[in-house]
Amino acid sequence: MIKNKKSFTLIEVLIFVSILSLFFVAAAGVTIVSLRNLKIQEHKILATRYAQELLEWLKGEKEADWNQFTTYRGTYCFNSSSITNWPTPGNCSTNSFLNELYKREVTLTPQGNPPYQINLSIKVSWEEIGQNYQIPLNNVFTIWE
Amino acid sequence: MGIKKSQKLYKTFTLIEIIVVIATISLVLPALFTIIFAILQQQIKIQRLSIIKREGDNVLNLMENTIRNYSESVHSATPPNDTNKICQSKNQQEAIYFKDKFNNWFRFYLNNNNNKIASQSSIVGLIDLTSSQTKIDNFTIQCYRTSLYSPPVININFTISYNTSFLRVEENASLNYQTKVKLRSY
Repeated sequence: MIKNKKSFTLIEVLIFVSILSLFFVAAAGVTIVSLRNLKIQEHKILATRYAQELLEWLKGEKEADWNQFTTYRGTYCFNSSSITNWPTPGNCSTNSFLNELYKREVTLTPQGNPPYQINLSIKVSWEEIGQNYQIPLNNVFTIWE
Repeated sequence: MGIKKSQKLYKTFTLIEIIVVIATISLVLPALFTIIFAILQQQIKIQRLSIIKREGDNVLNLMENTIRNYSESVHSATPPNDTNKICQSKNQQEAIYFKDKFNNWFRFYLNNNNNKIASQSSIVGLIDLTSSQTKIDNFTIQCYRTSLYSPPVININFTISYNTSFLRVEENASLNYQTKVKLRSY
């Protein structure tokens, strides 16, 4: 029998399909990674804003009354945006989050007695896909400014 | 023999082949478009967030620095003089006009027509401080004084959000800003 029909062999088709699928898998992987990075980027922008919000609020408290401000020391957890009042001292609990994602803590360390300077360390941290991220923000308040 | 050969002349796809191809395409295309759509949406979100953050940071900084460094006293009317001076007690009052040391006045207020923060001064006139891409809500600027000889404290509050007519929650970004400023020269 003369073979006159021209067609692809099984091997050819298999090779072609496998190369194509490799390409598609790689493309999908890249896309997913970039999407994840975008999400992390968004959370970072928000976290930076939350850290600054707390710093501005603390600055306001300091400007309003330095003596009162120096009575606060140790770690405080500010788990609500649009801060209204000082929370009870202590670290953030494990099940309450700011905006359902973040933990926002500040540690105040007064220097001198009576304090003339307070070192602040603000930390906004969150967990994303099994990885921890944090935005640290350190500042110093002094009585002279 | 010749007749049989002519019957096999045209090779066409069978129905099954066509169905399989269409089914595969109909699986792949929606997945592809979902991914593209998700990326676009995420980018829009980030873009809006960075716009409102930039404008919010900028306007808060500007107000804070201007009030802290240039304002001497707070007044309820123009021209500023001793009779309309406010912020002398612990009660929060709306801070309307600020006076600098050359007796010029300036103010920051919410322009209700376009939801922008605007500044007005006796020298420069009217300037909008935020763009039309954003809108401002809950703008308050108040002042009080902790004791008789302490400087007035100005309390600034506002919420900035992206100016869009769509009410989709996932595409709307908004941030709160609040701070207190103590007048440096009073």
